[in-house]
Amino acid sequence: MKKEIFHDICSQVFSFLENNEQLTIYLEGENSQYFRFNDSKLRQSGIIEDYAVTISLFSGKKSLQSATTVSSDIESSVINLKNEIQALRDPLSLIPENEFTSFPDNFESIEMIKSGQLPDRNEILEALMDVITRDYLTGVWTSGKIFRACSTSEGTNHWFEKDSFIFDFSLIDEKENMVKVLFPGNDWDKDRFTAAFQEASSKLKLMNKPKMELKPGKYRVWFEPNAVADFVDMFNWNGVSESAFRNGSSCLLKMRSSDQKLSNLFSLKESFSSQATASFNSRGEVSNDVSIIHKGELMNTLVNSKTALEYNMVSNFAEESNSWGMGEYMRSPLMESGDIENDECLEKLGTGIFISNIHYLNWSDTLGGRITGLTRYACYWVENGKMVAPIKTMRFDDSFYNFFGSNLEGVGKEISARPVIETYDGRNPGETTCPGILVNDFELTL
Amino acid sequence: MNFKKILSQANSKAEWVGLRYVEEKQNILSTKKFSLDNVQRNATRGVMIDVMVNGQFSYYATPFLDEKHILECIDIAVNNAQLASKFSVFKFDHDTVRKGYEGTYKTNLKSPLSNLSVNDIKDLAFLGSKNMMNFDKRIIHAATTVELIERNTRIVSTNGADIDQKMDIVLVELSSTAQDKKDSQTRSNHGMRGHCFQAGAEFIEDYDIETEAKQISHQAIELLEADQCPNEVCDLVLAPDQMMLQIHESVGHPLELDRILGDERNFAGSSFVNLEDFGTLQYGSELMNIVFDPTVDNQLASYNYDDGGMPATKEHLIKDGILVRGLGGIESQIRSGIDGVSNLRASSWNRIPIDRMANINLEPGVSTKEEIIGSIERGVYMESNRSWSIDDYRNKFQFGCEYAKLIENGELTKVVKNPNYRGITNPFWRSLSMTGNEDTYEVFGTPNCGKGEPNQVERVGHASPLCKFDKVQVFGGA
Repeated sequence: MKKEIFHDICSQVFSFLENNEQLTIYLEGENSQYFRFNDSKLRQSGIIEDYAVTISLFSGKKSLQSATTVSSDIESSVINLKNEIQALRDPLSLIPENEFTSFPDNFESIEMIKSGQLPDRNEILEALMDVITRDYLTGVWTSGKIFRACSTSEGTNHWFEKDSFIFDFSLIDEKENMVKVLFPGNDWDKDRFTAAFQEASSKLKLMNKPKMELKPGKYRVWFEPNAVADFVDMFNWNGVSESAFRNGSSCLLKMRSSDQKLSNLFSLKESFSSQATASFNSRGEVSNDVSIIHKGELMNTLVNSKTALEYNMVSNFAEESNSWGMGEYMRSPLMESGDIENDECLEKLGTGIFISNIHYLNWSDTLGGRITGLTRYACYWVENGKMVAPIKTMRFDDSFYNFFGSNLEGVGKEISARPVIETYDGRNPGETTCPGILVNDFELTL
Repeated sequence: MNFKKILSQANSKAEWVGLRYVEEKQNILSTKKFSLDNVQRNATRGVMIDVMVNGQFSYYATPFLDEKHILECIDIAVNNAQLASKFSVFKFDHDTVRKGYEGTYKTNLKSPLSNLSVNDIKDLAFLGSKNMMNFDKRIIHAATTVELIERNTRIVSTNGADIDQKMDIVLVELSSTAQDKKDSQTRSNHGMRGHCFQAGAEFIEDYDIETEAKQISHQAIELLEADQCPNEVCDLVLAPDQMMLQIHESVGHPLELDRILGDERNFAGSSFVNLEDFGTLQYGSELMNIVFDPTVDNQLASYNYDDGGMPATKEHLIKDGILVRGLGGIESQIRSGIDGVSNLRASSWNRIPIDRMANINLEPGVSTKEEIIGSIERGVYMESNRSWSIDDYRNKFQFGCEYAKLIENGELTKVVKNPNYRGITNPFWRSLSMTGNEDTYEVFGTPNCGKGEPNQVERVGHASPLCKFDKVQVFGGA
């Protein structure tokens, strides 16, 4: 979708408003090519064009939302949105006022266009297959444009457009050892992909040893940045949200009510400096960076405008999700780096477990900060700084008040940005940026 | 839109073309404490174009319902299928993998959901939240969500398929949080989003939300005052609203044939089940009878045809504890040679159908609740899922519940909080020692099953009796 088309649709829809009405229009769109692979061959191939629009109709202290789909065809899109507005008018008159409802203030309009050199859609499959015929590869290639836009009837007009691709794949050997690779980018470079594939292939060969079975107990562990990113993303689920604090579900509640602290090596913020994702939210409000935890102390939570009104706070214009009870969430979290060099991590670990990836995390005791999950992919037993053998899958259950707290011994110097790979509601331009961490007494349970 | 006319003009290079049109309207209203929190309509519609060339499928999903545009999309999909067919993991025969069935389906209901006004659901939600909030001063938060969903799917294809299915779906979610200086405990009606069904407006009219809301807040207060669940190995009794999750994670997903064939290894994972296990694997005790049943009136995932256009029938997946059939649609059945079911399902117009659960139910046994509880000297009874985690081969699981009671000397005694248990799938199911009778059998569903690349969320149903498992590791919170 072109920016001009979206703005044309918006201006025609705004002209349909009645005197007492205000409207925001938020677009989440993509035009994407997907290839799904299994056993280094093609399983599924397709294209998805999807332009999901959420309109919020305001009348004083009343507001209703409608989510629908539009297309690049202006006439049908305008008719569709006008129909949705009309469909909202009757129920709007029936619902009570909500004192926490407010139309967003005007913000200076933002335009962020991140153009890239995406591969030709007719040629990319051949180019990938040139490289991936060795080993067993399973995974998904995704490429194309991602859009975010927000316009309000009071004059805010934001546009975010990004060319990007990501090849999210696993290499698997006959013994079902697996290495996970995320190969993201904006400019396609076959040589760079070939190098990434060969590096993963070499890592897989290293795993060709009998797997060790560990016993439950406490272990010294080095977590690679991808694993740390999974832990950090848990703070988006009953964590950093101010509304989660207020409704008693935040895992960080003890950091406010009991003054509990994490390690002074742990700092976390919401950061838009990489410009990976749009800094405006679905109301068109523009967020700045927010320090959430600094040197182990809770500094701020994420507060959206509704929560701010309800609890008499200042909004930092966070985004909110109504699904999964998430409340306000980080769109671009960044954990700050430490001083362990990349090539020092095994030596610093000494004897313990090197964990590349973790899997299927969930809270086993939210207020206690306890997270359970499993090891996955290239995880090794290490002795005296040397990788000995891959380990069989182990379950862990430990509190972040331990592994980001008193048991956090060191933090990696290099940070790695992991793009959001979930596509449940379409492609998402966000990312989670983390270093690796060295942890003592990490608890494995099964 | 005249889809048959479009098909008559479709690119002749395609061996087969199918169009799946989906239109879904959702009306969602939620209250928080004593206020209206959110009122939202979701209205999505679009068409999934699927073509086959040289035995390879390729798809194009678009919301732009214009004949000329759809024909252009078909051309692009045909071109992509040609390019893709050089690298196919499997070559399908179009007449075998897509049949030309005709038929319809409609949710069993007395009155369509469209008869409900925003006032009807607003009043229901406020009634729920007010009854939860007013129960006790320690209730600091209460939320009610009501979702009404109307979904129409139309499938047509060049080989004669013409299927029209209409579903009306209701979800009512209540949650209440009690808090004091030391702790915070949340209770809901049957776990997160577990209370959902295919139903008409009569569901809302008949729902006793007042009683349920008061009970939820009562139990949240009980949990606030309770001791931690003990850490020990003992007998475990699971209520049907936790059995839903146990069946889902440790039976449903491992039996999906596309996982066993490796399609999901990069995302959701694989399975400990191998193709040669069908017909021989002792999955659980002989009390374990699991069925794929899309025919249950009002269960969340009932239908007559899957999104691959195949007629759906009730089938045993596990009979008397033995694994007999896979959860695989026609594509996986052809690829694997294993008997499957009609479970090719897509979350919407913008996703292709893959092997999914539908209604996966554990059939009732003969024991009364009193007999089950009375048989236990020391154990724990758990209700309503709140935490779930299992490894990528679906072996090592750990699940947590909202509410639990100790069982001592054959009786339910005190409430305990933060109950969790863990185990390994086959040994756990082989320890199934009692299954409740029809009186203990309850039907639930979840709209939150994630899978596939690109990812998709599917609605699935689960029903179960009360069940007893021997010698399970249970434990409490920090």
